[in-house]
Amino acid sequence: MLVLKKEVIILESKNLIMMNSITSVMRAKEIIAKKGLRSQIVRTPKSLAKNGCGYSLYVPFEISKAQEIIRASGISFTVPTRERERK
Amino acid sequence: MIYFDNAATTFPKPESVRRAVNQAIVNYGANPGRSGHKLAMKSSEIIYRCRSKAASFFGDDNPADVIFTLNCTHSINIVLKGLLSEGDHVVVSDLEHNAVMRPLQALKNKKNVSYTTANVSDKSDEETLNNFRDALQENTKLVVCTHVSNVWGIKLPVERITAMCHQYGIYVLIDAAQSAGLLDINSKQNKYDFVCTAGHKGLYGPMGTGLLITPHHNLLDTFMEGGTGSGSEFFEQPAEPPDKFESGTPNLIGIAGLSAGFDFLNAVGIKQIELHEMRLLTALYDRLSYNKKIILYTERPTSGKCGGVISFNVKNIDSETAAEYLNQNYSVAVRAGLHCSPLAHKHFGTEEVGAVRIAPSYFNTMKEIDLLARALTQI
Repeated sequence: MLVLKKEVIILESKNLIMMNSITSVMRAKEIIAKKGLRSQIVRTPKSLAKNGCGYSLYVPFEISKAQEIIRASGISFTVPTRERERK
Repeated sequence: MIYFDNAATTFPKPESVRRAVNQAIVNYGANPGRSGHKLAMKSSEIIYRCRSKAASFFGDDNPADVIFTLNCTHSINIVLKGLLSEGDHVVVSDLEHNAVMRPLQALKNKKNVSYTTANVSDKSDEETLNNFRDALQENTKLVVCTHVSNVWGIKLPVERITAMCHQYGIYVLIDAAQSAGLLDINSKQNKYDFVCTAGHKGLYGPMGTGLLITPHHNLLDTFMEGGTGSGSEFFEQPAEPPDKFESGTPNLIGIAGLSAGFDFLNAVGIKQIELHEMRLLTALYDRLSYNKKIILYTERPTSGKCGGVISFNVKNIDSETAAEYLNQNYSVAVRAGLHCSPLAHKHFGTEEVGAVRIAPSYFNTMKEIDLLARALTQI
């Protein structure tokens, strides 16, 4: 679960896969669920949102595998960068 | 009342659609795709489920290819105005609705877009195909083709027209307002570029719902811009579908109903619905054929050759008068006049008199057809 304390966001942001549209994030959640990966849809924290408002998938386990699956399905996403995490 | 005006909008809607609409109003009142709270996420989930069902119903594997619109006219406008530029040429069938002809005329006036009308042959699909081929020009960018005529029920060979156009690198828009929910439309398999349809007709959703299904979102300019709940930092409209085409609060209540409409169609099966409507229409056609006062224009309805519509006239009686006679004396609801399709009426020379249109749905019965046929013997 994403906890909204600033220091915890920094800690947990590595588990976020950020997308713009709610449709993309729901589709991504559905696709990784078919491969047995759990996730939760959250609003992208403002400090990380490069493109303004958006939604993210919070994937507590196997984030790299989730990214791989989502990339293969053609859905575009970004991941939090270290620079942005420090803000 | 006996309702035979289902080509305009289906009525009644399935009980499940009414329930879904009610549930959406009562339980899911949050704005979808904006906030992150539980209710907003539930609303977003309803929209996404419907989008997924629509994609799968039209043979598309990507829900983001489905754009929710207000109606079929809105979908057609998005394509015509988003795709065509100064000097482009378009080919349309001679059975098109004003949903196509009016935006096209506006583009002709404002952007010098030209169009040619291809005659739909009453004899063979081959001839229709040749007529479309003959109408193509060097600058033809798009062919617009109704799947089923909203006046005559004639089904056009859209699969073959699309295949032919693609050989020349021309895009094809299918107006599926009358065919969606009645005939199989596999967008991916047939490589349809743009499928436009209403949600409130054969898909049994509420009014105020429409769909555009396209993998070519990158070819289209935006029709309108505004808030999407995504990329809010920028004044530029998001390039990603469906947000690119869905600005402003969506019609959650309508879409919840449409979602239930897809469930209804999947449960009953569109083949079953088509067979039911064909049974009603052939029975009516046969009865009208024996009525000396009735003028029929098309062949006896055949499965796979036409959609769920028959139009006719009563000798020496104006079509609106005939419709009013049925309304006043028998509480039968039909549509008369030109059906927003003067071009289609010109096809059979009825542009001056119009015609009386009978369009049954899955909920009409043979008893109702019998009453209508008897009423027309008394006129």
